[in-house]
Amino acid sequence: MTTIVIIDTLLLLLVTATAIAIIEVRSLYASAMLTSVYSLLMALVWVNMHSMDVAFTEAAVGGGISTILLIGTLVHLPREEKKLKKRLHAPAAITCALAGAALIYGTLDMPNFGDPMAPIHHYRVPEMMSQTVGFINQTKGKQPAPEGFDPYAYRTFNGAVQGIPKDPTDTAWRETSIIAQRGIMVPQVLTPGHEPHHEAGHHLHPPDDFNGHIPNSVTSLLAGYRGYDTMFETTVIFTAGVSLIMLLRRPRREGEAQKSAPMTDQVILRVVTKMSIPFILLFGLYVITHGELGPGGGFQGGVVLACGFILFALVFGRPALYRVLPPRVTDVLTGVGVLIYSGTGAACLFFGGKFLDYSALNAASPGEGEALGMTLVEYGVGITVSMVMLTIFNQLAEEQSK
Amino acid sequence: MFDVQANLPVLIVTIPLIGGILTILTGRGWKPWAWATLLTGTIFYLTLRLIVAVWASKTGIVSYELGNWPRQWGIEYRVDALNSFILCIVAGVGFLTTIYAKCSVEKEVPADRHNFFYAVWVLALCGLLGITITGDAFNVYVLLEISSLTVYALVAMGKDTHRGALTASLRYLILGSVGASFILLGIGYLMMITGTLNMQDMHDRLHSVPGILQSKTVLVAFAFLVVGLGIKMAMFPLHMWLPRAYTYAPSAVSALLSATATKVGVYMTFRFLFTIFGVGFSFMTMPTTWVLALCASAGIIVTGVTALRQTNLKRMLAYSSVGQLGYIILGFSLANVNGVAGSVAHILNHALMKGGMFMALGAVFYRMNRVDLRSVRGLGRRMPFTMAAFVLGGLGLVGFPLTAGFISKWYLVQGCLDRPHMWPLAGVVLVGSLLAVVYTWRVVEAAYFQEPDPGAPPVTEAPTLMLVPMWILIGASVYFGIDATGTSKITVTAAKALLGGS
Amino acid sequence: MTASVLGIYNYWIYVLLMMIGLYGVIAKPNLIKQAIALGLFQTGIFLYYISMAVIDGGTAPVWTTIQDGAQKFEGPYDNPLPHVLILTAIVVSVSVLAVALALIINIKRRYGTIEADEIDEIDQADRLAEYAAGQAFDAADEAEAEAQPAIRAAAAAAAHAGHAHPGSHV
Repeated sequence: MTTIVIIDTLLLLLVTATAIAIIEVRSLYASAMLTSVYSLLMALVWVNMHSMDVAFTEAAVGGGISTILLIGTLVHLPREEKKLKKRLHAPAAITCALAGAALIYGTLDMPNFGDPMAPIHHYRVPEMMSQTVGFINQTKGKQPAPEGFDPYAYRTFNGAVQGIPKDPTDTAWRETSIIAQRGIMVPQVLTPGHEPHHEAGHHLHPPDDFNGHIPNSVTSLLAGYRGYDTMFETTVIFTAGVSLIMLLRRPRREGEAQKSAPMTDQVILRVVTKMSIPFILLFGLYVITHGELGPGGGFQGGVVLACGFILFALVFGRPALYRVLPPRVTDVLTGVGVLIYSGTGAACLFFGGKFLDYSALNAASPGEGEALGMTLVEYGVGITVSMVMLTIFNQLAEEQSK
Repeated sequence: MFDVQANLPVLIVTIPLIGGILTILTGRGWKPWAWATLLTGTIFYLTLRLIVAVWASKTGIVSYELGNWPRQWGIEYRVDALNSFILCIVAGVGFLTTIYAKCSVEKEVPADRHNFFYAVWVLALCGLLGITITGDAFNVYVLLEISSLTVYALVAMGKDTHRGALTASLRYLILGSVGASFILLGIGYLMMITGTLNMQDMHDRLHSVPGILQSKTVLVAFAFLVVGLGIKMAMFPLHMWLPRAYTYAPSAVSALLSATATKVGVYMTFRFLFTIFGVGFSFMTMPTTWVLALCASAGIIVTGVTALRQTNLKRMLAYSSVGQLGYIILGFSLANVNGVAGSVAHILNHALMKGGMFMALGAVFYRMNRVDLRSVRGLGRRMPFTMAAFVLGGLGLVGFPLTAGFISKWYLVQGCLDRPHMWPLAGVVLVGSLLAVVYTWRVVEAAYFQEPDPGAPPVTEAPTLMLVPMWILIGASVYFGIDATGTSKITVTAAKALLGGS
Repeated sequence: MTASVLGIYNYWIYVLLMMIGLYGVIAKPNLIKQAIALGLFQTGIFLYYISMAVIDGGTAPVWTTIQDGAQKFEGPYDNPLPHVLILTAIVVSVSVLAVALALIINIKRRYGTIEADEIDEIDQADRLAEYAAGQAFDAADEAEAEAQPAIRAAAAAAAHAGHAHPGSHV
């Protein structure tokens, strides 16, 4: 606890200093660079707080893509901010001070930082995470159930479970069983006597539990429990890509050559780029695929893929990129990713489940179905994110035509 | 195949999602518009089926769990009387506006962008419908961002007509993102204290754990949520983004936004204030009634006076919209059955009237290329149906008897009188109506009692494809003014359900 | 009391970050600065969410330390729910930034500047010109002048009068 807090405080002081510098410095390029530094420091803060997926995303998206987009925009814009008449904008400062005071007042009743008894750690999330994880081992595939275990009893639960009181407002058993016996947020081996509380007609984690296939609980939350949110998030990215095309693309006239400023005369850049790009693309695909087993996933991997293509465009010029990936192809692929996601959900509807109920995809082995569904949607996300980031970069970097 | 009836809630949101993405492939010409009309028509039909299902169910609630996860852990769609009503309004107006959009968009948006425009249009509807139907707090935030982002892009597409659309959109983007971030902050504070994200679960938790409603965190969460939601629903001092956005957006987009975007913001306020926090905390413990009623009254008067001074008719209607939203906010700030019912009824009535009036202005722009008072001169004779629709809509804004506006104002005044110290607010409602009379009269005078400019081009009536949706909306507003039994039943049930959750 | 201040002062630093971002959005007229400051504000909120998830003695919520049904790691894992929410929010934030940048480029092309106060002045001038054009026509109409030069002279005179009027803006 103490180590986290010390490193945390140091990093946060750096972050605050960077934030003030971003606001105050007049050169816009310096601002963009400092934003990149800010994002990377923020990623470090989050690594310190053990949130690997988020740190990865912030480093890739905030430190990588945002900086590229900002610099691509700044090519078209004035280099410096206009000099302000007054150093401090009094009404804004007063508003922010009041809002900050209100927020600090609100923190006075919050649980302490790191407090294991905070409501969020023992109300719903442990139930969600700690069921039927007992059948994990390192091999994929259908796990044999323990003696006397009836997998189909979980499909139509009739509410008669031992040890759980009938009165729904009596929740004391939850506190004692999860916290006192096993510690908080620890995946539990299934024992008879503790079955999680649930309602009739639902299935829980199926017995060959998908958590065994997907140890990264962030991915299982992202693609499974809250998969619907993620689908709409992918749509937000898609919308951003389409909006950029709508706002910035100019019709390509026949014979008009794309203006570009390739850096192919820079030997070091050219050689190193040629060597790195295959590894970058491979790493991107690796991150998307491996996101179930460790930090990573569709967003992070998609951004890394996009960075590979953007690097190619920066060094060899955008016409070269358009020969490899024509705009038609990127336009279509942006939609394909979201369609894969919603198509998987719709396929679950066609197989008789609810929308995004992946276990319907494989009726014999619901856990396999869940794993398959999550893999598919992560690929969908990866495709859309990479193509949209590339599209956004292309549109922002286009030259003005008169 | 699959069971449509059982999966209705999710189909209402996923069909525009998948269809909207496929719109990009529809190419040029009339095909994007036709595909968008097909989609929005299907969705409208499905929302009608859903409202029937809600009224037919025993508990009055239709619940759908995404991914078949129990609602405490997964995302739940929860449709009750209020929800289904607003879904029908949004889907219906969306459908009619899409029909209307063919001519208007052909004129105002470059032809090679139509497939992208309609894709973003359908996705905007998807976002708005999704906000209305969901029962999970974080899902509301994600769908809010979808609907906001698509609307920023749609408003900015007015750039080929007037460059002010770009600044309007950017200003809306900055203010809207700050508002959405405040909402995110509020949701975060709530999640930290309650431990859950499902709205019903949050409500149960807030009212069962002792001492939680007195904690400072919940207080500050409430305050920031009200500010964030106030920005989204254009409550008086936080409404600055709205006039420019409605003025410079393409006409079809203005019609769609005025009828749906801020109403969905009001719906979100209903959910947060009445369903999650509960009437007791929101209105008895916190001084919300006073704050909201004050802001709403100030909004009605100030924007009414500002609307009087405008020559650009779209800007006038935009300020008028803020005033009408003031009525809606005033209604629910009273926290009694008449007030909330009047608020919900005005959501329907304002959507019909304002949608129709913006459509009429779009038709004027289509023929005249301008929408100021000068261009409207003498149009009463040359574009009779369009101006008649505008005038009827204006009568509805005033609250003339036999129009829908009268019904909602009646409920509002009743609500004001029901609470002992709130009768001055009834006076505010009447003053607002007087102001509406004045600014509507200016247009009537110009259209029917003045001669057109000698140099003005000879114009004919607007195309039928624009007239039919316009008159369906205005006609519906007159119909619901004459026969208000359906509206009353739905809105009073919704109000009682909202107020019932203590 | 001291114990609880030590426990929550982290949140105060996040509030400071948020307010620096909010100050940038409100106070800075340069549009790029506003867009960047909006990102700062939102990152502060994300930091607050992630801090909710931390547990004393916990580690990243990736369950790779279980073998053959037995636990090898006895301690708690951090709460993964806020991580998921913030993954979504980060991506939404960058999408909004991209659209904002596209709008800013368009504004630069059409207005020639990206300072909000200069843009406001140009917008005011636009609206005054529209209002003045309306007034000019009024004057010509009421004068009932037949000759073209007379109409133009009246229009010019009324345009001057229109500029002197405060205009119909708030």
